[in-house]
Amino acid sequence: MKIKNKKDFALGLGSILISLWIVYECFAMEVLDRKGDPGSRMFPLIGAAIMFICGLVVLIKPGKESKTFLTKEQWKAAAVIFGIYILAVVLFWLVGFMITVPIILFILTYLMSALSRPNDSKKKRLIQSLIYAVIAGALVYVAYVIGLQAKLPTGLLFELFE
Amino acid sequence: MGEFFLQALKDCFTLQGIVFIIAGSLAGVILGAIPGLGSSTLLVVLLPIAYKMDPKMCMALFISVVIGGMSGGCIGSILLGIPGTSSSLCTVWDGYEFTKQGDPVRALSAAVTSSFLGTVPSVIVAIFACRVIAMWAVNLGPWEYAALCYCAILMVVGLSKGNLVKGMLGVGLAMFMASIGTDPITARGRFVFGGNFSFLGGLNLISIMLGLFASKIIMLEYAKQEKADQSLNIKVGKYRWPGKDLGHNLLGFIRSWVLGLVIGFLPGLGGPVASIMAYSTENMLAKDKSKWGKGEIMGVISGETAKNSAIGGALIPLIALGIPGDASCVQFISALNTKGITASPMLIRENPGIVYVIFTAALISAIVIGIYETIGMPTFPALLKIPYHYLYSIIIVLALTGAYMSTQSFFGLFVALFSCILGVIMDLLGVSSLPFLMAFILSPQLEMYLRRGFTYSSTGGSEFFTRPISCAFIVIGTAVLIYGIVSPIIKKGKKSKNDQAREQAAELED
Repeated sequence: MKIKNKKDFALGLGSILISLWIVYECFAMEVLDRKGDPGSRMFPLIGAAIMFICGLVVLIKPGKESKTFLTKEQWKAAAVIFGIYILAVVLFWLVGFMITVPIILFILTYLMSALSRPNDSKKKRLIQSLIYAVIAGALVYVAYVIGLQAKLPTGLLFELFE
Repeated sequence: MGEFFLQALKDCFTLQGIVFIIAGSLAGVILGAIPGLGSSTLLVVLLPIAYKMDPKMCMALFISVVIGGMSGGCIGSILLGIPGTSSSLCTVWDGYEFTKQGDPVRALSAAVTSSFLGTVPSVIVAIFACRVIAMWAVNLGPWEYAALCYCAILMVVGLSKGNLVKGMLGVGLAMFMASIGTDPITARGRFVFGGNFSFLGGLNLISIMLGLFASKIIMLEYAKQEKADQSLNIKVGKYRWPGKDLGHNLLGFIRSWVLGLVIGFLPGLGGPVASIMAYSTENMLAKDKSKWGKGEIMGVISGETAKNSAIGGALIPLIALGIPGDASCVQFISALNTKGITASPMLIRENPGIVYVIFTAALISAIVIGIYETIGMPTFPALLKIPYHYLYSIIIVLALTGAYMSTQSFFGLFVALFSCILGVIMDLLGVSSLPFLMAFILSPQLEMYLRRGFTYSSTGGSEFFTRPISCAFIVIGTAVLIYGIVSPIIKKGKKSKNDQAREQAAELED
């Protein structure tokens, strides 16, 4: 069987599988019997039914193959940014807000400045990014921790040494 | 009423009152403009301060932040293409197109003016109509609220730019994702993945928004490298009175205003639903739909008017019934509780001073914001004048921080990362994120009212169809969906008929 539209095939099949899993989970769920109440299962089951029907329609009647979403190089660039997001979460957990913010600011600014300031030398971009990370990091800290009195993570490492 | 209003004016025009209103309004605009933050974040942080403040001044500050946040949301939407608040979602579609076309002033001027014209009359209506409309609202039951949520979701699906089936698929997914956490009726955990406590609170909307918009958009923009040239070419001048734009769309403006007021009045819906409903209504009524989504000024006016008129609408159930009209109103109720005041139908009778300070401060705040946004418009794009590598890096940091703050745990961050991936997958597979997000926002209310409707019903839920308002919403929602399904088929049929006729004509000519 030749697949007409790979993306729609994946979407249809994925939706059907997720909806079947939701149905399974719903019936494994403990439900309190209240008079007149259709119960906790009703709403997710409606969602699953919609997903199943729509998934089936997409699978049976796929649309035209759309143009390339991202090229290989663009996927790599997106993955780098997502890697930085994950790094930020890990650093938040490990060293806390105060240290993570300037580090992430520096990495992102330096990385992105290569595209927006291609004519600047590496050294210049590095210094500018560093200065920006320190100043903006301090401002964010003042705004959130001092100004807004937000409770932000202090970091596992610092908590251990306290 | 007059003497209470005069007393409220006196309270607001003290040095303390003026400082709180101006500071609250400007802080609201700034936070509203920054994607992912919004006035709700500031209100949450301000709540502990409410203990130490005079209740009247506290309410003046809170309402100023709300109005500032609501108005400022359009700035991020128009200039960055990222909604500052969930209420400014649909402003992105057409507003950002103006920025891409090099004329953000037209969209900003229309948005700022619509915001002001949406807010002030709605607050005036709230002042006078509070008691009367509250009496009407008492007659609305869960059937009407459930039907309204149903109608709102289907209208957005009908509006979905892409495939209708994929739009509905997003709705189904959102309904499931909104079910994660505690059951609203029985308080039992659902889909908590082995009793994980983090899931009990559900998936936080702010984290989802931060992932689906800020994180995903910046990631893809960086990957596609689209932003580099655009940010350098944007020129923004001074405020331009949008008389022509408003004049040509006067009926639509009035419709959006009324719709915003009514939806704002209905609990739990507020600005996001008001703006999207107004946008979809105007889109559907438009004779020429070709410009919608590509830079139609009515797309900006409708959403901005409705979300701001929803402020006045939301104040009515809050003050008259003690029911929050939207998320910000929940913070209001919490702030009142810190002062030992219960938001209930007795609020006006027992604390008229506080109530009229809320109304008066809302009007003064709208004027302060109107002045700032018209005079200070050239300062809006200062964000874009910052080279984008500075802007994007700080947005990411604020988004991640906001995701943590939204739940006060790492769970918020994980939800944001998950939403970012989900957003990319949805874009890749052609599933529009708007119906998904709309359904996610409305699902908790829809489920609660739907189940209450069945529980309170003595006839197995027939009230959904026998009560006129509920039935009307169901019919409208279903009709929009059917129209969405049928209209492309009719168009296709017409097109093939025309093609056949052309072929026949060509054969005859030969």
